[in-house]
Amino acid sequence: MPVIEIDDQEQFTYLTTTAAGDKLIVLYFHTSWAEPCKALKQVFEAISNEPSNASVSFLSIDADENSEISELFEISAVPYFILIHKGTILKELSGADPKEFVSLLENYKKSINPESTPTSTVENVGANEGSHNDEDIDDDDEEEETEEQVNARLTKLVNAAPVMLFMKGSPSEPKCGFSRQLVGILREHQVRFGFFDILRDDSVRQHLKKFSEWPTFPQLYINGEFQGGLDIIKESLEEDPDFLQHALQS
Amino acid sequence: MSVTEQRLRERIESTIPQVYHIIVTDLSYGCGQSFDIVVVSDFFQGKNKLMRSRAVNKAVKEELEEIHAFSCKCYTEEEWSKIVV
Repeated sequence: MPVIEIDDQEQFTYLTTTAAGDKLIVLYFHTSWAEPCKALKQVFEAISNEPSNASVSFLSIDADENSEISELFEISAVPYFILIHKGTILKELSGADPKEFVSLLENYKKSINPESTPTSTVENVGANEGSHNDEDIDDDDEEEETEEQVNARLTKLVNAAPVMLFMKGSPSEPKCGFSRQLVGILREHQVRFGFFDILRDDSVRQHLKKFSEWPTFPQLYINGEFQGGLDIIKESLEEDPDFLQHALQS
Repeated sequence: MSVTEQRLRERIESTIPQVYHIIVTDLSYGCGQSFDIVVVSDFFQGKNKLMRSRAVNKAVKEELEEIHAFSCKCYTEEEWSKIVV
């Protein structure tokens, strides 16, 4: 089903309860300021228009404008996906990886509606050769990316939100103690931040080390400017408890 | 060969000028995976935290590839004297 933009809580409640039936519901939380959300919006729309997703309900929610809903689900970072079936949260996914979202969606569609699997299997077999070729082309593209293109991509990424955290894992599931600590510091200072899980994208991980001239993660960017890793942020906060706010304003 | 306190200390001493004091602590119980470093040098005078840390990161660049956890603090002699006293 095409994406429905949520305007208020009443509409949201109606769509997720009364009108839901036994449909699989996908909630997509986004904000206008987070750059990864823009690209993901198009992906989300394309996925929703696929015939195989005709019975899935896609709800798009601006996390800033619908703060009650985001608080209800304790959304602390965008983009954020939640899959719901019959009033139960099946799975939550934080981050901007469309591939991961699609595979998650496919899995839950199968588990909810097993009859639909044979068709897709047949399709896959028929398209086997084609899909292999596609993969090859993708790989070539990645290799051909010039340093300028990489830097342009990283510049966009570090500016994706006023405060951008490049970390191992996600804020809800950090995969490293240093990343966990920095998430804690940002939350403690009530700083809204976007994040990027560098474990999901080795190209970003390797290139960002050079880009920031910094060999480790986490890395914190404020207004597109590299601030440092955990030690520097901690020390800066010891010297100036409002360091993060000041960096944002400067 | 795993990274040792000694190796890190030598790298820093031979790269950063005017080193007054270095503390290297192996927090990994010997497996060479986690280190805490403090470097005191007047070479850091007038440099911000980022520039200081980058200088140390550069000194131990090769070792850093092998280390998982690495924490580094850099002080000038004057800053250090205030902390110690």
